[in-house]
Amino acid sequence: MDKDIEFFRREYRIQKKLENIVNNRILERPKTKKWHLTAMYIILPFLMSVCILPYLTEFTLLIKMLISVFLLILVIETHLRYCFILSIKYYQHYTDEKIRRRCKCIPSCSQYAIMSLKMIFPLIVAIIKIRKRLYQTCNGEEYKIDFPRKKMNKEYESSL
Amino acid sequence: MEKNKFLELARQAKADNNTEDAKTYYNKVREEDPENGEAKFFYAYYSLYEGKNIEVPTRFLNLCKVVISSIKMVRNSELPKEEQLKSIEEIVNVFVPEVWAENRYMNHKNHETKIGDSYVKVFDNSSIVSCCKNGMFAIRDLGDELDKLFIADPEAKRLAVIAWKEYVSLAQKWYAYAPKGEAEIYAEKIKKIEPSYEMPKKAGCISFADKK
Repeated sequence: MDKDIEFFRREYRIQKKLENIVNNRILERPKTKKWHLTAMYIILPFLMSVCILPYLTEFTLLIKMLISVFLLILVIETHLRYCFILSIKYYQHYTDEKIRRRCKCIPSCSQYAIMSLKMIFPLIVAIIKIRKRLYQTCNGEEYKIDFPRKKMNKEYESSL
Repeated sequence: MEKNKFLELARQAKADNNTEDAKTYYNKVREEDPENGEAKFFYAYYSLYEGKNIEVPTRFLNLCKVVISSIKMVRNSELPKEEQLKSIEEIVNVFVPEVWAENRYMNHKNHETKIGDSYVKVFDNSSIVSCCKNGMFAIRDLGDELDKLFIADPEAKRLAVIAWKEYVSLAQKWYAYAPKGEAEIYAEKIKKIEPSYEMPKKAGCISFADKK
């Protein structure tokens, strides 16, 4: 019984440390302009339409499809990913401090999303991870350390 | 002379994390001087997780009742003020984390053994809720009592702030059981003493808890 309760007393001390870090951290506010974000989203459909171009060539249907899919993946993994990152930075820049301070995790959910979008391939996996972070990890009474990669969690925990 | 010797030994055992000896020495101090607040509290504290799990909620509720009376006993003792505050600090530092740890312990025990598809319930929900509420209010009252007993003493204020901070933190976590708007009142009290204090938020990013 003693071992169990000692574990939770230690856990309490860690929680207090994390609470202190979370409540006193300086939240990043990256400079993002509205026109930049809008321009990126306006370009997106034009880039998507490039995927139709192979169908205008004289290759066989299979090659046309392969090139088209390759271009589509390229646009999604580069431009769409960049659009998402820019949207999150826009949120970080303009959202009220009170809303941003709700986050109970290290790093904050928006920072986690940016890190995931930069580190994790393909995009769909990054989006699933971000969703899990928002609805499961950052939902409850505990303060948590959660980086996109487990190795980073261990590094942060050892630095505490 | 003898009494002080046991108290020193009890403190030493506590510092060494030797719970068996600490409990024995605090019991001896209690027997010789029933008015010793520190011994009264720590005896109840070390008895908390002894025996069967089913007795834990009752013992914890007893500890919540003991904490205020212990503080009063320390204050009314003939010890110098520094000694009194040192004793009270020991009590505050031990009691404040216990409420959260005890709640986690009870929840952990309820999710430890599984038979078929369901877990074996060691503690029923009503006793968990009762421990939550009583522990939270005991921490709040502890802070209030310290503020009342040592008027305008900065050290006592610091200890009261420790208790209030924990109360605000718990009231935000277990907002369903805390009186509405009270956490904000205590956060204001803390801010008067510690202007840099930031009140913790209720729940995560995707949550409507802050509107409740």
